[in-house]
Amino acid sequence: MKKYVLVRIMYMMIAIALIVSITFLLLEFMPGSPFNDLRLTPEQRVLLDEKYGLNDPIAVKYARYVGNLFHGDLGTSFIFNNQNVSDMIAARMSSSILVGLQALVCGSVVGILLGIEVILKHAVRNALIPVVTILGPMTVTLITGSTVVERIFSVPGLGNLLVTSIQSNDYFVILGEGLVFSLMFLSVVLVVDILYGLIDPRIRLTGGNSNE
Amino acid sequence: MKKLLSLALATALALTALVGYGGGGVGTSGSGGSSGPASSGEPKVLAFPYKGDIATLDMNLCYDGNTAEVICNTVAGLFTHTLDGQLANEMVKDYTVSDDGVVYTFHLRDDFKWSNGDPVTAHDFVYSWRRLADPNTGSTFANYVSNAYMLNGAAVVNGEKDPSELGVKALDDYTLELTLERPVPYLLTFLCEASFRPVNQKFQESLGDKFGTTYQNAIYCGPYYVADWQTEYEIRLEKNPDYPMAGQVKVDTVIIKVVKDGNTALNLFETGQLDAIELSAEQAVQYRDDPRAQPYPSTNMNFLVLNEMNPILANANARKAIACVLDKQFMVDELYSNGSTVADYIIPRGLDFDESGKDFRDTSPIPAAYDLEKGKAYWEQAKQELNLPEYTLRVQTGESPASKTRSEFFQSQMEKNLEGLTIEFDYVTSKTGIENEISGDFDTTFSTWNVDYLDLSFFIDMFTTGFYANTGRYSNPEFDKLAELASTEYINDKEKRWDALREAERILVVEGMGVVPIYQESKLFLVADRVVNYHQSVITPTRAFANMDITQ
Repeated sequence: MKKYVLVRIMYMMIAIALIVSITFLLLEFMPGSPFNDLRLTPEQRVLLDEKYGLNDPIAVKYARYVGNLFHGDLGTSFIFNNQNVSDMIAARMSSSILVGLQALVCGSVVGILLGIEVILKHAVRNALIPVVTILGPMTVTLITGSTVVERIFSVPGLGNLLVTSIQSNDYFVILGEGLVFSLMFLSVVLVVDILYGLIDPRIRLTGGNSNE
Repeated sequence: MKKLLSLALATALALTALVGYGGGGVGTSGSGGSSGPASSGEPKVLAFPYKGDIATLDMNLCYDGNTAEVICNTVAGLFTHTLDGQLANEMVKDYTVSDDGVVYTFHLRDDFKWSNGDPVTAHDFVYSWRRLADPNTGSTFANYVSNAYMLNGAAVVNGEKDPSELGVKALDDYTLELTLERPVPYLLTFLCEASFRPVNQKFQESLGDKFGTTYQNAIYCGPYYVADWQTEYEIRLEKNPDYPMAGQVKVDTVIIKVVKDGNTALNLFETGQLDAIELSAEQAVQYRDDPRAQPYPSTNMNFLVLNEMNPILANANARKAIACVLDKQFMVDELYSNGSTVADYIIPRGLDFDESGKDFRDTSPIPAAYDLEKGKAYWEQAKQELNLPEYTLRVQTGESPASKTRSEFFQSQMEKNLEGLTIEFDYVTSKTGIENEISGDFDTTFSTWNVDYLDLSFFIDMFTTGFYANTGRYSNPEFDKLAELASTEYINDKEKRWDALREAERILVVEGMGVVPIYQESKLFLVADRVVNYHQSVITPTRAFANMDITQ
């Protein structure tokens, strides 16, 4: 079991490395820059791109970003001048979680409790498997994807930040959010897999050579 | 084990539900500004919405209107404005201008204090303006120092000269001397901009890049200070007791709420939680006759950019045809309904006045462009000259419903009236749209511009050959010459200057149709009855909260 979890965490790290790299590459193809403002003279745009290192070759930019990541630095925003991406995400995380969990509670707890009554004791264990399968990823989606709810109820959340950062080419915010979302998603998938084993020990976890 | 687990799961979820419903910070609850009429003892609180969060509290990095409004209400400037829109001294006691109009000497009051206790001095302005111009600061508004024609401004902004060579110095602690490259008629109102507000060097340097990123990391010397800034939720301004004119400031607290959705804002207004809101186009149709509705004319111009790199649009008759068949009146009345006025001109009303107080706009009538028959005739002529197998133009369309409606209207007008012309939509985000404009990869796009400084030349210079914001690539040597004369030789001769600008404007929007003006923007606000002296100014800050009051 322990070995299984370790192997899975290693896979998770590889997946995150891939996600960050692909997102980074995709952003490179995004038209425009955070500084394509018609009020800027061409000379100013060049100077700004230089100051923020946007003119460097992609390999240099990538190495710098990954290097900073290892120091826990997600970079700073271009749109919210000099604000740390990690601070920006942290500030919005709690509201997003709150909204997501409320939706989750309304949607699933009521459903599960009603279901439990119907299914009765013996079926609960088996019935939990599909519930857990869906509930895990759904939690992440609810937390990160409630853009419409955030707009209407003026919730300072993550969903809206993602949309505005993409619209304004705020590269490090997009990358930071991508990183956090994938981290959350992969962790939930891992937890779900571990829960399978707890709910029904007959489910064998295959990953590496799990003989336990 | 399993029972325990299912129980734990259910309990955990139920618990989070409780926490969720009990917790504040979400939704429309929260501290409303308008909890009943303020009696004499109670603090007076106003609440206004912003569509998004402010970007920074760093004066030099500020680049958007909302951020500028917060900064200008919390950091004093040289000048401010009165309720009737007149420029008034704030930190300036008096000032002198040299005979040639290029050296300004400002004598400052000595009773302004920073929130860290330091006095506000002329050195704070010198530091701020040099920092604004310095490419290392990375301000997108750095070229304000070149727009103000500060000596060596453009060279410093472009990194060719050291910021210390900028034409500004402190003669002593309370005397500021500014040297310009040429006389600048709009200088004093321009200096009201957030970017030109003073910066306390010691405080800024102690924080480096983190200056202005939180309300604790910012410094204040205005009628208010920022007492709280909750990311994308709420900004609270409290009256500054150290402000020299604090006795005249009536409202104790101004709460800015981030409300992204227009209908949510309207609900909050109707339930008394907001004191003034700007209406969207759909809301404006419904509320334009409401007694609480107040239109505020701006100096923003909306126009259709025609890219002359496109062979069809390079033809002057084709451009005129488009301008003639577009029903601007319908757009203003039915698509916007916010009091905006149809414009066949490009120099907006409200920028400059003659001695008798007459607006420049009233001295230069431009004939109405709308004329279907003429438009169709121009189009036939254009087709003969061009002789192309087909006529297709793209119009850049944004994500907002308003932008789509506008493009659809444009499409129907053009296809109905100009035989053989097809209009296609080019869906873009705003950044992509601008990128396309810069690179020239577009045909037509609707554009709204706010004048950066209150000068008649602003929208004329914009269409001169090679100017970076002239994305339609309009070019006419005669027009260029007049624009240049207006800003150089004629700068101190109002009569000649106005004549040159009138002629330049006529060449641009009548003869050459280098751009199709649509309307001069007005904004429709709903203002609560209890608010006294609510006003939107064309001079920064848009709203001076210190001028407002609340009825008992």
